[in-house]
Amino acid sequence: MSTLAVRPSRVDHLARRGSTPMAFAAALSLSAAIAHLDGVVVHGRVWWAYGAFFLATGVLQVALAGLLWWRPRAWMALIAIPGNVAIVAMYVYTRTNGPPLGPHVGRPESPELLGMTTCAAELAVAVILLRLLGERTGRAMLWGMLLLGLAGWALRLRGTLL
Amino acid sequence: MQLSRRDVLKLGVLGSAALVLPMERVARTKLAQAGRLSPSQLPRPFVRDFVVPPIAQPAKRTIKDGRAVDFYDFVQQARPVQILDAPFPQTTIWGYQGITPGPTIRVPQGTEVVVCQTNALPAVHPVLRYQSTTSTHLHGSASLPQFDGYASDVTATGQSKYYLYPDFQEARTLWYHDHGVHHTAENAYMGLAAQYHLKDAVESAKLPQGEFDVPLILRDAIFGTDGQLIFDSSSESSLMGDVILVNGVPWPKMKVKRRTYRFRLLNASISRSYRVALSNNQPMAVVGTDGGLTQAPQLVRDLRVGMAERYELVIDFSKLGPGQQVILKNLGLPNNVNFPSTANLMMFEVIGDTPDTTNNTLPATLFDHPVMLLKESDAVTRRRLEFVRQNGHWTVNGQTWDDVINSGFTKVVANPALNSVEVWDLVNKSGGLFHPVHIHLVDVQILSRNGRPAFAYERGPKDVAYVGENETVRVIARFGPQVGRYMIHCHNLVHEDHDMMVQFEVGAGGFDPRLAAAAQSTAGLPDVDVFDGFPSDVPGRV
Repeated sequence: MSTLAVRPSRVDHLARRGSTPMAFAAALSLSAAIAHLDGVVVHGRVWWAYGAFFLATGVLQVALAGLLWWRPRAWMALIAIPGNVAIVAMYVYTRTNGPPLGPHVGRPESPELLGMTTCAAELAVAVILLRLLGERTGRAMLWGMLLLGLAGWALRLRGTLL
Repeated sequence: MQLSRRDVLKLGVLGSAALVLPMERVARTKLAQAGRLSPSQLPRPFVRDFVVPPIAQPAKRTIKDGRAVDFYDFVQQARPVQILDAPFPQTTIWGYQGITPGPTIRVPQGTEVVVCQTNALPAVHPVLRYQSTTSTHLHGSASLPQFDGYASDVTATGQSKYYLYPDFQEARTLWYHDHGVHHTAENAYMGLAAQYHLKDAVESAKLPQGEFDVPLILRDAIFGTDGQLIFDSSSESSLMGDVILVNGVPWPKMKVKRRTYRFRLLNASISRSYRVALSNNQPMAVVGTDGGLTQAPQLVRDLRVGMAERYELVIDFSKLGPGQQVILKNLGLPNNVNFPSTANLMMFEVIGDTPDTTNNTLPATLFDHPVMLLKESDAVTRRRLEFVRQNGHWTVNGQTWDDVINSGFTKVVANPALNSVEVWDLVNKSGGLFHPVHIHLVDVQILSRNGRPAFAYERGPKDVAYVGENETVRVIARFGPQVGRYMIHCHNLVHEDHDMMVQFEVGAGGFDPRLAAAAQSTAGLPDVDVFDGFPSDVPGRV
């Protein structure tokens, strides 16, 4: 049996190809992917690993968009929610303390409209994907996201995030 | 799962952190910049007394291997100082020994100097929120690579690093300033800059000395109503302040006696260049440039001074009457933001005669610096370096300091053989920008500007070449005497930080500028009291 405690009725409803919430999530993931792929060359020029990060992120987000459109499944949410949240966390870190590695280490970038919008889209994907999960797993994810948000604010107040 | 209203609130904590924290950082900086002093709030010009930075006293003097060694123990500190007029509060500056400009090091040729630089700055800049690592460059010194203030050889708060300066070169006005990677502009803007005078018998015999040998460290700044410095580089382009500071004082008034004075003029601004002239149109004699004395005094009525350039000027006040006032003006240059307040630099007020007439008359000739004897035909190699903005980055031949970092600090734009003579064309194709280009290690002679002769005041040894709008400046140099990797960069420090800086390598096999004699924790350093010249286990002692 599935250990994801996914409610059959909800999966049935959401797992249909092109269901409205999943189509929306797919579109958001695709838009985030485009933003990342657009940044591959510019960031890669600074350091190949920055470019590789943008490329990998963009490709994974395209793949996620396709999967969510064609066959949304709970296991995707289990991977995509932490993945998107991790990308958002990286965005916040690079805009406050700067990249943790590479030639621009410790050199914060300015938050620009495209980046903020992409960040919002990734958070929205994570929220929508919570609906693919069962109550128990979904709650665990939700608490994880809450704790991460609280940690962000705490680190800022403590001065760790600059 | 179904999301309740409470769940949405929980998610809002993450959402707010993700979207607000980056914006809050920017907003904080913008808020700090919003409170800029209005023109009517600027300090009144020519009210404050002129000050001369103190001469640094060595903590210890020793003889090592038959050579004199002076040891200085410097601490980079944040301190409040009163720069603005009351009621504006004190300004927090960062200074060597807690003052800006820092103390002047004055040393006779042949005396080695060791400076222990301890970074005691706040770990994080209070407004800009970057980690305040530093690297100290003695500009104009043929230091070994590991003591040259290599940008990526940084010293963190709580750490110290020894710098060894050989001081075998001809007499000159040098300056030491911050060179930390990506934050040179901010660190120098906060005040990490000072002069360093290398003296020899020639200049002592020919030019005014003592109280008549005066440093003039020129810079601009933006102040907020809270008294603090505002760093606004206009989207990584240039920082243009509306307050002129001379030796740290806004538009000071200097009392002078009726005789000649030697002024060691240094433009320590981040991005501003000046066209300097006297208000009475009196000529000034240029007797020295970046690398030392000129062959002969050059009389000029005005001169262009780019960032990091030094000019030694002799001004004769003997023909002026007591009480007469002369203003040192800035006539302005293209691609600077010229405010009404930046048209004046300082004032001289003649107060009377002096019995001291030592070196009061300029000799017809001064010194034949070796680099000024080089001819274009001596060059074995020609190179071309283009300074251009590409895709939002300031580049040299399309490269940036990031490329140097990514190569493991091995990538170079030029590899001249030791002691070879080369001609370099420094090219600026832009009509909207100028780039004062600094080549580390060597002195250069400016051969031409767009094929025409160098300006009269540039006919001396240089280490910064002002590459103006649509200009190609041809320079010649002998690459040595050290072996290793050295930086070349634009001395608009905003450009340097973002990332108009590359490196060249003289010969092969020099000390690694980043790893040798790296910064270490203060606890690991020998005590000053038991210090004997220089640690024997540090490579590269000359």
